[in-house]
Amino acid sequence: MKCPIETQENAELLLSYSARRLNPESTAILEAHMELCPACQEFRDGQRALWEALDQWEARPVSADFDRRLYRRIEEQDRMGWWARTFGSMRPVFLRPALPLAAMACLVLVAGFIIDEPRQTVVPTAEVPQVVREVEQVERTLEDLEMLRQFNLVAPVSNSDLSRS
Amino acid sequence: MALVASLAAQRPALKAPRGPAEKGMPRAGKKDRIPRTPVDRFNRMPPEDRQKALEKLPPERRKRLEDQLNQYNHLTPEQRRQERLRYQAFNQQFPPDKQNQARRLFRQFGELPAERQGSLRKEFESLRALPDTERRARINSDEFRSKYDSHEQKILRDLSGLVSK
Amino acid sequence: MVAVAALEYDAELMLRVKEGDGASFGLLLEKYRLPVIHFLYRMVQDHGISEELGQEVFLRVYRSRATYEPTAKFTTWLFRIATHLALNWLRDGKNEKGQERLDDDFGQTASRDVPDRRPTVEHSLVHQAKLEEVRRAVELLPEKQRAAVLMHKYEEMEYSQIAAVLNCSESAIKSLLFRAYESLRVRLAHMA
Repeated sequence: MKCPIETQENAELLLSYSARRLNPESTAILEAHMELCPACQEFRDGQRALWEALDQWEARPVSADFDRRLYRRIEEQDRMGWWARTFGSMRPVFLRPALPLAAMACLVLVAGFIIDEPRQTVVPTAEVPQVVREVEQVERTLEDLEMLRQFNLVAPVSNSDLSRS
Repeated sequence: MALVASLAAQRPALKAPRGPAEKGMPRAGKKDRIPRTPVDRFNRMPPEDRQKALEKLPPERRKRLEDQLNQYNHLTPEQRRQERLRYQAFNQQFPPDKQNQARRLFRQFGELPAERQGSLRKEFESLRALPDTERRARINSDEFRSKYDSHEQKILRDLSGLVSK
Repeated sequence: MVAVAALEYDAELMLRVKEGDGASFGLLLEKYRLPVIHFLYRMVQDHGISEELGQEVFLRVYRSRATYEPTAKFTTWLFRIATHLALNWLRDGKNEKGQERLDDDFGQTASRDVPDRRPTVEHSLVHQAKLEEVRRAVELLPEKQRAAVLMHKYEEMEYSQIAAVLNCSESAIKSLLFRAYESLRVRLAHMA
């Protein structure tokens, strides 16, 4: 094959190879070429080293309250959305100082109802969303269990070890 | 009350889920100190709900899930207990990024021909038993490099990286 | 085959969100929270900002539910939003480069005042120094190259998908990635 580095046409082959995304036939051809081409070998080795360096760049876990903050913002937004739809057309009325205060009082009252009834849902069948969530988790768990059966990744652990941690 | 109903109707069913820091931490049950996995919880659902969930999946995915569930459900109670222990240990010992890396490696492993999977599995068992320095020496040895192609070497190297101290 | 089914499933979930199913939104959030925030973190290199932008990404997903159409893969759409927010933030932040980084990911280990005798702490400092080099090398990439590399390397996205996110051709993405990786290889060659 023509050297990917020299031709630049097939440069993406090297990139795909380094990313483990090349199909087996092309991989075999490229690896045969690399046996004879120092430039491609150098590229491969450099790219591997780069990959390993990038692999070490782990990101921190996400804050524990990320979801809660997001849902709060969504709920605020929904409330404001309702507000805008209901009162948006009554702009001139808002110039009166008393009305915004009354409206805020209404909102507080309504917010109280919402907080007291957090579980209301618009979904006709409450079981369906929960079930969908379960299936996704089940699939992932089964794959994890299979993985752990094939690869002994974890240190031997006993029940008492878990309850101590 | 009409106002409340209108607001409630516009809110999605957005229960605040457990935050990421809470995930993977086993909750000690009263009777069984090994927490149940999502698979166990799925098995405890009413049969009609399980059926409804499975029916929503595309056929191939449904078959795969049913086969995996059958396999899990045919384990002895002691085998299931061990699987739960391993699963909880995996969630405790590996941060999310490492868990995802393990899953990626397992997918790559799964794409190998069956006989190669067997070889790699045995090799990983041997590598896992070695101290870090000996493991690295083994991975860098000519014998290792001649036995496995570059892709397989990478899988084994990365798996070893996961279990290195 | 499973990967294709999963992608279609994401679009299916989003269509359920469009119909008012909040739990489907929860599923999408759970699946993509980490990838999105980690992508944003590596783009803007600030944890606080990456979480703020991450919130904004999912807010926009939620806000757009009424008009959502699965014309592209869900992840393409999701990362398009994330990339757009990150690039905007980076461009807005160019005037504020003189400001100290409030978020120091790597300065949380050994105190400089304490004599460092333990080999494990030394190793940790060496490791942190290496990570700092990686972080800087990525930071020096032009923004589009940075986004392409992060999507290619950490999210394992295909060229076509990255091209759709960055709104350019697939061949442009391949050139862009090739140049980006070349720059990174040169900058980090001493770490090999």
